[in-house]
Amino acid sequence: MLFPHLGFGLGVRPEHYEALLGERLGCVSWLEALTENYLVPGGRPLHYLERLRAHYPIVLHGVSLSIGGSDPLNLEYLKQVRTLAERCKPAWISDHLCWTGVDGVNLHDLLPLPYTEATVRHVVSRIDEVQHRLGRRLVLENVSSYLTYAQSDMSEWEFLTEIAERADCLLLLDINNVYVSSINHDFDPKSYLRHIPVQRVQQFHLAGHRDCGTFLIDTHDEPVCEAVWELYSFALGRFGPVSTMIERDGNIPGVEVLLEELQRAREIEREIRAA
Amino acid sequence: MSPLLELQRMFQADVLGAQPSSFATEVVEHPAKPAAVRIAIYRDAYRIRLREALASNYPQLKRWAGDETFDAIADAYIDTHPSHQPSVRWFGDTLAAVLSHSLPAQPWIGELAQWEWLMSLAFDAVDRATLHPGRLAEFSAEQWPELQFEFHPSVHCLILRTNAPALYKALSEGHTVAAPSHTHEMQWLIWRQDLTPRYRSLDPSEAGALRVVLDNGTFESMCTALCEWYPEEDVPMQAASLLREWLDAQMICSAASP
Ligand SMILES: [Fe+2]
Repeated sequence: MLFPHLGFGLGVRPEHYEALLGERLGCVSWLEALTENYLVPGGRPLHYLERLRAHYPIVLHGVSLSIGGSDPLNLEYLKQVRTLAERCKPAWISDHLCWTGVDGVNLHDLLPLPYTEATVRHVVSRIDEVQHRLGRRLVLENVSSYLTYAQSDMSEWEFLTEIAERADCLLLLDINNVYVSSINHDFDPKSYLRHIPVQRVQQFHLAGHRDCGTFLIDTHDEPVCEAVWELYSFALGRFGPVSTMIERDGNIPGVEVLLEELQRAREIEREIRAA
Repeated sequence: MSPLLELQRMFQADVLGAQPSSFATEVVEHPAKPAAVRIAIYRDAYRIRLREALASNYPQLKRWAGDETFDAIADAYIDTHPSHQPSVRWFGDTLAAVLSHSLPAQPWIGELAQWEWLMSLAFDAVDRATLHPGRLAEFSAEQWPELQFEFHPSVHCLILRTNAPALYKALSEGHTVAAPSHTHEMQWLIWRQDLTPRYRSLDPSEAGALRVVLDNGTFESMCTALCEWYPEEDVPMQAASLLREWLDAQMICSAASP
């Protein structure tokens, strides 16, 4: 019921196009491309996506679906995503379990939802429609969050699980986001992971964050921290091998630096498998 | 109104910082992590993210203005033009018009923004195969006067009154930037060749001829336009050499006679 396992990959960034097609060709098993970066009429972005997909399986990862939003689903956007998917044949399409704005505004942020039965029903019906329009199951990612709504009456992991089960969609667990939120909201990140159904998890994200004292901020501009590596190891113990990749959006280093980080992920998986 | 819609409207109002809202009462309080601080994380992140988006769409304008002035420009824009697009790629689409209007004494700022935006449009304009120069030989002498040309979607002509393109060139190449100045009206061409946006100035005769054919005019009407600048006997050769140049630059996608 899951999409094929792809192993270890990277989030592809324009800075690395040439290396991934040249001296580092084949250095990873797959690439995750940010959907919105390729919803352009033509030119360099689509040119490189076309060339990359000849060498690597591609996964599309969007940020503007606003699956938990209150505006009607943006059907024009969905049509564009579908057209892009027909063009680049992604192994799967993911976005985030969040909302991004209301009344036509896009705040370009991944905003948390209230964890209530009413929200679950709202989101599930929208996922149904998206899965129908995209002609495939959707993979949804847990976001980092910095606040809890007074009206929430379930935990984030219950909310996530409930939605995945009822909408029959898959999950992208961002291990860093689980960790960031666990510090911001004082919960145990391992008990979060223990509650997520194994057969729903399609993908892992690893990323870095910034420590701002009482809060951790999900910035994607630092290496993966030790606590997240440890949580990753725990996650592999529970979920088994899951397609894993590293996201880096700021302070982007040479691809070799990210490959070293990815190597560490490979080694952790090897250790878990041997144990 | 659904409770979710109401909640999201309050949250959004706080993030945009436009009007006071009672959103804080919807957020769980915590002694070490007050609701106001939690909300401020979202509000600050919003501003930083949109400033970054504008900076990545206008890198040379930012270099020209300096961080502080650019942030002021960005903040004024962010406060009045929230994004309605799925991608930040399109954030700032009206910045040039806003700057021309708000800074009339420094028209090069608006024109630099306009220039940078048009270059970005050429960068990811629709892909189209271009016409091989040899293909024009296939048309007979009778067909030539009625020929019409379809140009690559990236081709764009514009008129500027400042040295914005020179500023752009120096800024993007890391050279010393000349003083901004007014110029007489100049015609410019922006297009994409292979994958790279290109530009050059146009002399008035080329600009006149190009505008005719861009506007679906025939080869004959292009020649008529050139008569304004050249003796009649030189016009066919001038026209042919312009076409040849545009073909070599991959600006033309097709030619057809009715
Ligand atoms: Fe992520």
